[in-house]
Amino acid sequence: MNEQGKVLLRIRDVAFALHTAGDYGQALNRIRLQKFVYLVDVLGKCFEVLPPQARHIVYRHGPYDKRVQNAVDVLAFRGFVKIVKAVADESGNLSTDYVLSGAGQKWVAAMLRSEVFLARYGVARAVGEEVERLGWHRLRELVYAEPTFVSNRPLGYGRVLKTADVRTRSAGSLLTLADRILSAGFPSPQVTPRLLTRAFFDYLERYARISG
Amino acid sequence: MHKRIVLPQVRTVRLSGFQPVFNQDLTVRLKSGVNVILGGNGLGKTTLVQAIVYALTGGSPSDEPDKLQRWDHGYFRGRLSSTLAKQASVKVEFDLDKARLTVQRTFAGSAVTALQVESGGKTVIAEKPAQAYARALADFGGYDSEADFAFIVHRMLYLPESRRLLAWDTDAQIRLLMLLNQDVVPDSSFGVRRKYLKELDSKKRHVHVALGHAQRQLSELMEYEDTANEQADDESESPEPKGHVSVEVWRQKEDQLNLIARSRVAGEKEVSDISRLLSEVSEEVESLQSKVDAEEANLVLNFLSAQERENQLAMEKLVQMGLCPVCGTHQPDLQTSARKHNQAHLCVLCGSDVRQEESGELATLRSRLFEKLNAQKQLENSFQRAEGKLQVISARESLLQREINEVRFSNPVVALSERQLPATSVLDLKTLVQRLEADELDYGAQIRELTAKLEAEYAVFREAVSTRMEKLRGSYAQYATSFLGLKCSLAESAGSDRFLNLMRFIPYFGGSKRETPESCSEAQRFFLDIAFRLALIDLETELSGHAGTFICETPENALDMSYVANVVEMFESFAKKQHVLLLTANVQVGGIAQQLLQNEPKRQRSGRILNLLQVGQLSEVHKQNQRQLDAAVRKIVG
Repeated sequence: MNEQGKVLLRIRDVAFALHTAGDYGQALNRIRLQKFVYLVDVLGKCFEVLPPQARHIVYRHGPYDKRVQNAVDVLAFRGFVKIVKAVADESGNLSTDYVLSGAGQKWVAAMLRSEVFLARYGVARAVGEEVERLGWHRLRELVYAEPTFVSNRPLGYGRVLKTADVRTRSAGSLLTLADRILSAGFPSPQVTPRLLTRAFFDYLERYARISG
Repeated sequence: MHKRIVLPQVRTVRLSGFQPVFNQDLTVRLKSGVNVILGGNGLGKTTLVQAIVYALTGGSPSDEPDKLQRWDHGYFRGRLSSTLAKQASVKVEFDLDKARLTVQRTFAGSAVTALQVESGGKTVIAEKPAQAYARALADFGGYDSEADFAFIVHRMLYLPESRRLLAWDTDAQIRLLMLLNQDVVPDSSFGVRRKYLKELDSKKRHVHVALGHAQRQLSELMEYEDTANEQADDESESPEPKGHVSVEVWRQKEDQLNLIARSRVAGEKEVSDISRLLSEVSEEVESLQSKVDAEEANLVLNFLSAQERENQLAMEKLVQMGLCPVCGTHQPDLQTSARKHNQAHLCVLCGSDVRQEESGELATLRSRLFEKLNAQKQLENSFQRAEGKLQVISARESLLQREINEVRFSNPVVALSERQLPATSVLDLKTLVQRLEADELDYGAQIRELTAKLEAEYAVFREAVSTRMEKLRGSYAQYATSFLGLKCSLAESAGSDRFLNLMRFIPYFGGSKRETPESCSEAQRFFLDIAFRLALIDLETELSGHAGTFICETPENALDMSYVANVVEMFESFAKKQHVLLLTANVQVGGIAQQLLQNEPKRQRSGRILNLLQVGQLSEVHKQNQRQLDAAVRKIVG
């Protein structure tokens, strides 16, 4: 797939992230947006939704996918995303908060009438629900507790985060294990993606608390 | 010599208790010629054809070597309602030579639960249906075993969506050709003896390893005895041997260590095998995902463009200020209607539903992707289980090694001198070595003898079927050329058997033999495999005088529109020979199903089609699009 296609998929993901955050009264800045999209990619495995093949890498403020930033810039340029706050820190780095504009809201509503997008939107909703439960201010520490990031972070910037690879220490490995263990413990009703999501976020929260 | 085998010709299928897949009990009558099961995603096309195959065979053949291809009644469990599953059944009526058999299976187990045989004007209901079915397959069909019948059905008469190919598969081709020509095979146990040949080779290898081990032990023991004799000469007053208990403990632990090391090696191999399979499936998932991504990206772009069109200034002026986009005059009525349309996400001006539709290809790709994802998930689970087991074994191995080291270093003198000693005598070892050498020679001779016999039998077989194979080639060339639109024939190529020089059939076109599946495109692989199967069915029909059945799942999934006419020509030519051809198809105007049906007399078309939109459980998406789907079905049926 060409670069335009990859950015288009991220445009979809950014829209779902901002739509979900907006429902909880949250605006996401560029760093928190990266983290939210990362968690959606990670949790996709529980919902049988694969992340797009554009991958996150280890970077300065956590997992980073340049196409997520490109996507939100495109949406802002086309009027689907509004910049509600722009603050420069002492180093001159600009931090901006993004929300969906009215047109953006309508666009997302139109997309959600197609069955194609419902599963991925469902993942964003599940992540939003968990982050709301644990606190939006803890988004950073939750992502920093995610096993793929934990094992790759010490190896330096630029490492590709293969979150679904069960043959390495990754979220995918943990989720597959959790699915099997929970399925053995709860034969009926079956383990739902929501149950797995809850268990996974509880794990992240606990790990974040213990590791400080 | 055996009698010829006869292929089954499926006539009627009855499903009961298949809720929620179908909302009613279902009876499908198949006619000679084209039959189509038409439906969208999730409406039960695959379930229906799998049920037919299940009724005939009870699932995959009992001797299926590929674990991933094995299935039985358990396959249906997740699909049927848990309350109705106990009463659910599938009944298939089919012709076999001069008999008509009606076989029924339920889903508590895979065995035949009822059998009716009509032959020579008599109808018999079997008291012991499972045994009677095996007997009927032998008496009327000429099948030595149910496994042979299941093999014919699975590898020749039924092509599932998983697209397991017959072309390029030497073992499957040999078994199939021997079964189809069993009347001229010199000895029907060829397959069994090929298996035995492999077992002999495996035994010979084990003996070879054991022989090497025994020879090493013998040489160590003899060396030790020489040293001990020298020491005895040097130390006339030798002290009591120390560390005797430690040596015993040590030997036990070393035995345990050997066992556990073997388990570890087996565990490592299992992990590595699963990992390789996982990589293969993951590559397929990635490839499908890439296609799905590209389709989804297009859809996102369409939505984005549609929204931008909606936001265009003229339309905004109409919605916000009531200004007509053409003449610019104030039009309150037009504004009211535009606002109403806008709120309902319809076209602002005309109010039509402008939602972006998911393309048929995306639906198909997603369905294929989910299947692959399930396979990947199962492999991931197996990988983790195998790895977990390996970790436990490795931990035990380390622990034992540490214990052995402790024994060794707590009594180094005894340990070092006794460590190498096998618990046997030189005489015993010499006898063992002699026996193993004799065994190795014996196995070698048996392998040579059996290889020569099988080679000779294979040569006789090839000679005996040479005329038939010419017919097969002719029939294949006709089908394959119809499909490809250029000359295509069957070529022979050496198979990969380690012992015998077995040949296999592969396609030849464009001036080259296609030695591997990868040397053809996905569509070529799939349809040339169909051509091969159709040619085999034709050959068998010509020899036995009875037409057969071919069941193929959604053939157009692998096809672009430009080849539809060619495929239709290929299927039509097959259907004209009185075979039953059963295809499943998505509701797709202009596809294979439509063109095949349009060549049938109009009054017969509805009898050749099962519309699952009428009996399947429609999803919300289907319901929303029911009008368009019904219109498409009308077009397909004509």
